[in-house]
Amino acid sequence: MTTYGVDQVAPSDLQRWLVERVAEYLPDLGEAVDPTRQLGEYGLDSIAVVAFAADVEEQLGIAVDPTAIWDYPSVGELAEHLAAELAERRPQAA
Amino acid sequence: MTDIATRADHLEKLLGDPWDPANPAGFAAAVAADEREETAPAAEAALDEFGLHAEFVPRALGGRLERLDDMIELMRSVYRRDAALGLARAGQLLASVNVWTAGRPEQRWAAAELLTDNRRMACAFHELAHGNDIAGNEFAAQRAGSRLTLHGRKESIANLDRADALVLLARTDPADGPRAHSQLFLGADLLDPDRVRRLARFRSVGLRGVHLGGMRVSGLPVPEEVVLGAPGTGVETASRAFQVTRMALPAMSTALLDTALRVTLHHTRRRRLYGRPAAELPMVRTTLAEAFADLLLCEALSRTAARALQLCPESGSVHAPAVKYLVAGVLTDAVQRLSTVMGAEFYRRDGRHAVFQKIARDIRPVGFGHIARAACLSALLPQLPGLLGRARRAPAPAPEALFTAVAELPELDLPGLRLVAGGRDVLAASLGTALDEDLPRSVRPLVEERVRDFVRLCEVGAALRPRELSIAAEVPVRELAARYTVSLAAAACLGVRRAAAAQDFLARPQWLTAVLSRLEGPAGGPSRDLPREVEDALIEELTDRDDRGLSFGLVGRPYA
Repeated sequence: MTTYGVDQVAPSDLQRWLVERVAEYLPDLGEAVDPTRQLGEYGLDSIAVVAFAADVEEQLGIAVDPTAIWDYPSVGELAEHLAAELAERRPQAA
Repeated sequence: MTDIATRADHLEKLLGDPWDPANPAGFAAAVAADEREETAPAAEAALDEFGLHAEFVPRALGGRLERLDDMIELMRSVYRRDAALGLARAGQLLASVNVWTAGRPEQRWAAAELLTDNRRMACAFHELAHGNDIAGNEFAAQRAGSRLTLHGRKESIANLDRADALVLLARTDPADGPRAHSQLFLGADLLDPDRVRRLARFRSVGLRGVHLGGMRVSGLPVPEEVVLGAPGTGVETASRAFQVTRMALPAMSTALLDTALRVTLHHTRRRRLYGRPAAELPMVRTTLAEAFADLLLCEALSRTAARALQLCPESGSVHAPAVKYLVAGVLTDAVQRLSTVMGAEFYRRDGRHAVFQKIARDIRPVGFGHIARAACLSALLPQLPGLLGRARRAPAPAPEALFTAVAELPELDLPGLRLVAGGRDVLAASLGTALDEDLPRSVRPLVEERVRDFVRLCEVGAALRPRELSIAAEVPVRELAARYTVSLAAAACLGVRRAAAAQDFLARPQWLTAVLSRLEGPAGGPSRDLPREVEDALIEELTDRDDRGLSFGLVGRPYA
């Protein structure tokens, strides 16, 4: 598992990391996660979403509620959203 | 009516001495009403005179709700007499917390006015086909122009037949997903009898006095303004709002164990067996002492969790299911063990102790009503790696104000509650510092054991793989979540002892030894026998409180 710090704000890098991370939650996944597909279609259920949100929050050091994943339900959209959140936080953290 | 002690005393007096067979709001009346599948009218009238529903309405909306721990303690006066009476009233909270959390100002004021006027609200979420999986609910609200049209069934809803307003969970998007549902807040006058068929009352083994109803709705038009919060946020609102009720309802139910213990004590102190009072037989003494310890343990965890919801609200998503899981389990087991001491007397539906058989039935729904214990473990599990990881990395003492009812609390911020704790749980994190403290020598080995168990739990938790945490988690993995709740309870008890005033029974080491010994049990292993001097101290305190008419919980307040 690759872990990025809070410095990681480029959506494309964040997206790559999320693709890897979300695969950990999906048993029997034979292929790479498609960033444009809805996570629900992969069978990421509401309980897994809670774990995933907590995991992402822990790794990125910003508050990530499951609602973020409900409102940005593909890896691509989520990466954009989180990158924006991180960019907003960064000046305060510095 | 101002402070909680004054309010509680006033309520006790209005409801009167429960042991007086002539009291129309006492145990005899409650048992007789239970036989009729009702609650005692005089008790209902006393609660209305008190204006009980105002206790569920935030102060900012003209009610008396400021502190959850106070509201819970007050409701114990009701629950100790009749759990059906208690639940029918506390059920107002199930509906209204959603309105306080997500309602527009006019919706909040409407709900507040209704409750302060002693009227009732029902929370119509349940659909038998979907159990605790509310995201699977099918009851639908379809948009047609500026109106919504309702279709579907809701079942097993407390007080549906007496409600003046309802909070409903309805599917507003036919596609599945977490944004598929919305909550609706509507007056019962909108339920046009031509479109709403009432289902026959659901009858139950326990809590018989609670009216459980249902309805089948076919094409009922309602105005769009009934939607509570933004469309699609129904499940999210419930996840926040129900953090309050998932801990508050089991916490109020500790009063059932108080009464069960009181009845058992009365019976065994008066019954002579083998030439002495039955209460002096070793097996009886042990059972009484253990039940007392169980009650203190349940109240310590629920007090800490309720106060945490106002002091450190980020951990509500963890504490609420933990309280529900552990408290419901401990209470049910304790009443069961007391029934073995009551013997044949436990089985009677008449006589002075008939309230016991009612409690033995009424306590069971604490384990599955509102949300099942099993579902609480499922809710905890996905948060476990983050919680355990952080507790291991960053142990820190918990704020003292968590543990003592004396300290004031910040305002309850329901919309500000989070759906996940993000690993933050000050209670769990405090266990890592427990051994740094000035512990009584007699308690230290037990604390060391709890801390060691928590360290092991952290290690196992860190090794959990995400896909092991789903609803299909293996039993040994789910048991880790149960062990987490035990760790929280231990931390809460340690904190309560530390924060207790020096002359208080709670400042003494014996009760702490007792609760830590009892906590060996709920984690899976057998609980440890209480040392003789610990048992003596508990029995002495228990009989003293009984003689002085005090409650057996943390507070030890006057009971009518």
